[in-house]
Amino acid sequence: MSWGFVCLCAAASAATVYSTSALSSALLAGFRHQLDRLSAAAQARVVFGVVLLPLVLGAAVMTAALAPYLGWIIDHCTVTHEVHAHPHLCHAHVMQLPTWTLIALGLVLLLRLVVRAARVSWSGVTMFTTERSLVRLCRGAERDGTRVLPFEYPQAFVVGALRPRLFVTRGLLSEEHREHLQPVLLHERAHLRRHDPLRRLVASLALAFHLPGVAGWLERTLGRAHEMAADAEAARELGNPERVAQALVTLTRAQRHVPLAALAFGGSDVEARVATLLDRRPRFDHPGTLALVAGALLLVALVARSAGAVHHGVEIVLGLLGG
Amino acid sequence: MTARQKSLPALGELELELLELLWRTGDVDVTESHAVIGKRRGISPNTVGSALERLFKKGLASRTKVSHAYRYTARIAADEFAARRVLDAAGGIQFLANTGLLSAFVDLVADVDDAALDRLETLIAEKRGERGGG
Repeated sequence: MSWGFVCLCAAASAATVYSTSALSSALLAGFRHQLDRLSAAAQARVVFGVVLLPLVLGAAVMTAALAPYLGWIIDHCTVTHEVHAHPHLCHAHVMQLPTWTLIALGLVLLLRLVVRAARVSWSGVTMFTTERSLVRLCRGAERDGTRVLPFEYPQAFVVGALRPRLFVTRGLLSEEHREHLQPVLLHERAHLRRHDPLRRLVASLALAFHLPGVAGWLERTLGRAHEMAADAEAARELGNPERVAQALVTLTRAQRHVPLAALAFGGSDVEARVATLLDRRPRFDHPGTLALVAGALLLVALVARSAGAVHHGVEIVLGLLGG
Repeated sequence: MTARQKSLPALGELELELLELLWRTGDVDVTESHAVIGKRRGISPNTVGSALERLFKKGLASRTKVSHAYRYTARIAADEFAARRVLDAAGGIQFLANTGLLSAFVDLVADVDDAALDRLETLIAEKRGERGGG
């Protein structure tokens, strides 16, 4: 296989995943009012699905596009002997040289993949060192299996992906914040049960297949959706959404007056979270995980069934992009 | 509102020694600090005063005016300061929060002011009232 052919494949992948990214994020933004009618957990599932879509569809389309090369189907150019004015993804044309536009497109995808992989690897290392420091700081202080940090302001958080740990600060356990402890712990335990940190790690890699601006927007949207899903779960367990909302407001107020806080996080959206908690309109808990997986499998099956057409379609797109 | 800093500010030796003095004594003014630290170091009261002012500006000390002199107290506990140093050395809290490998209940850098929080509390009270009223 020549480097030119690899570039062509990378360019075809880039064209597929970036067009899927643009289309799926436009649909997500366009249907946000409809999305608001879903439960917080269903919204989180849909956003996660959109994050994974370019990766899944890109893999399916590229497998179909390379089907003639892999010998799974017969290539149209070997059957019809027509002259096609576009690049070819087949054995006969394996030594062809792509245009500079296609090389650049392929390189953008490969570069973003390398950067994302490096970021995820670095976050793994950071997670290990930071978690170890946090555990050391607790000096064995534990309450109901939760580690207690020696900070006087109220805060709770989960660290880790595969085996996440829950930490709370001494301030949250104080008499002043006692009534907020239960909703906060229920919220954080909901993150653990839902495997949200692991989903964020997977999403972090899958976002390499999205357009740069879209990736950042989706990362924030997914983070917010996870927070709202954990809020909803805590509210359901307590049977009292106002208590979770009050904990959010009180702790946010407490954080605002901490001039030098060690645990400076970003990303949550207090006003939107409180509004969602207090919104009593009935919400649909669909689509479920099974329905989303079934939808993805159906999409892959459709692409596989039309492998010949997909192969030719990808070549035509490459021809159009390559000029 | 004091601007928040994501990591501890850098401290000089004199500032660190003054901070330790604040932890030991509770509160001090420039003259007292100079008597304990300044004379031994052979520095002027002005230098000690400037270092205390820097601690105040860095958010590590607070001050109140008594007669014509400021009295300084530490704004951060000794054990919390030590803990912060360890965390700063690990250096990954914010990075992990950005990558989603750390999710906190509330956001320390939330872009929401006291007026907005007051509005939210009113809204929560109303909803509680509606629920209580059936």
